[in-house]
Amino acid sequence: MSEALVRTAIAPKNPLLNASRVGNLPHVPGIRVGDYIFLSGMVPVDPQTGERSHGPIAEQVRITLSNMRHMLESAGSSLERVVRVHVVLADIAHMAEMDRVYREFFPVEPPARMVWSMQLRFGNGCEIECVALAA
Amino acid sequence: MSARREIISWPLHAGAPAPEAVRGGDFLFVSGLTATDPQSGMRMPGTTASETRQILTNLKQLLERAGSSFDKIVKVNVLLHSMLEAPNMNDVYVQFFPDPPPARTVCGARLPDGMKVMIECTALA
Amino acid sequence: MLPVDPETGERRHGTLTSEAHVIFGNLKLLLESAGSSLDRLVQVHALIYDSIEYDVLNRVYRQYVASGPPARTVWAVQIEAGFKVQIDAVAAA
Repeated sequence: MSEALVRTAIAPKNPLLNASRVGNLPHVPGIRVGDYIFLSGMVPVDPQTGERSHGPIAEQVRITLSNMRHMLESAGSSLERVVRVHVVLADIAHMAEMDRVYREFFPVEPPARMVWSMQLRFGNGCEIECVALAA
Repeated sequence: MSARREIISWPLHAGAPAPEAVRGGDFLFVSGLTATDPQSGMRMPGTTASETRQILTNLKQLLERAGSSFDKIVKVNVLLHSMLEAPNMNDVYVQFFPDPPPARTVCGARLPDGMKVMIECTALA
Repeated sequence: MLPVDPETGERRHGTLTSEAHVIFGNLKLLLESAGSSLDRLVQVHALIYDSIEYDVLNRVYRQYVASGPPARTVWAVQIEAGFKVQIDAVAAA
């Protein structure tokens, strides 16, 4: 008989990056279950101030992925353990710029990826979510 | 013991930012695929139906190379440039998937390079 | 999951609020019949037809995931059959 998998919420060590708590929103930053960690979508937030950070798209992607690294490491995982990424852009024309920065974060054996464009809230230029293997 | 992670295959064009699929733990995570020529890796824009057919044909090859199959797919996400085209995508989609088909979400979004269809899936490895 | 009547399969178009209630009712039934539950949701993609309805979505959503909500990303996209909301979910069995 197999046991039911236990599911637990994860949280970033930096509380300014806990958008769910800060915004009192009905989600958690991520869930760990079995071998996997599923993260909620992350947007560009300055980790020093907790404020939205809107500059050129390259900067927004850099901040978002760096916060994602922090989130995964807080949960005992890492960018190297990511298996799937969804990158959403407000403007599909930003794809090449996004890509340039993205490669810096996944230089070796990158994860599966899907990129598309849709309406994003609060003037965010990107929103990124991922699934990773836990520790 | 940590779950295994490995790249299954790379797309043909050099310097691609993502592999076609990654195995992680018990699952195979397939990237968002658009219609490409499997020999050259060149994009093959066409109608919603022709792009869907090309994608699913390529997916079949990819899954077989990875030791998986359409029967083992658990979840599919289909992005279309316009939801008005959903019936055209569906007419082709049903030809590839077994009965009962896997879980699926279809929605309309803006896709890279003016492509009309993008499909990703998760399968048992 | 889309807002369809669980008995007849008829489409239940309405406001985002009414559609979301139908969806969550169906999701609850589906998960429970598979031996799972709303408490075991792991990841949700909440598709909404326009991001202006974000707060409306949240008002309904909260009612169903009160204790220990899952990871979530909201997608503002075109949805099947002109619905205003769709919920895509992964749950632990």
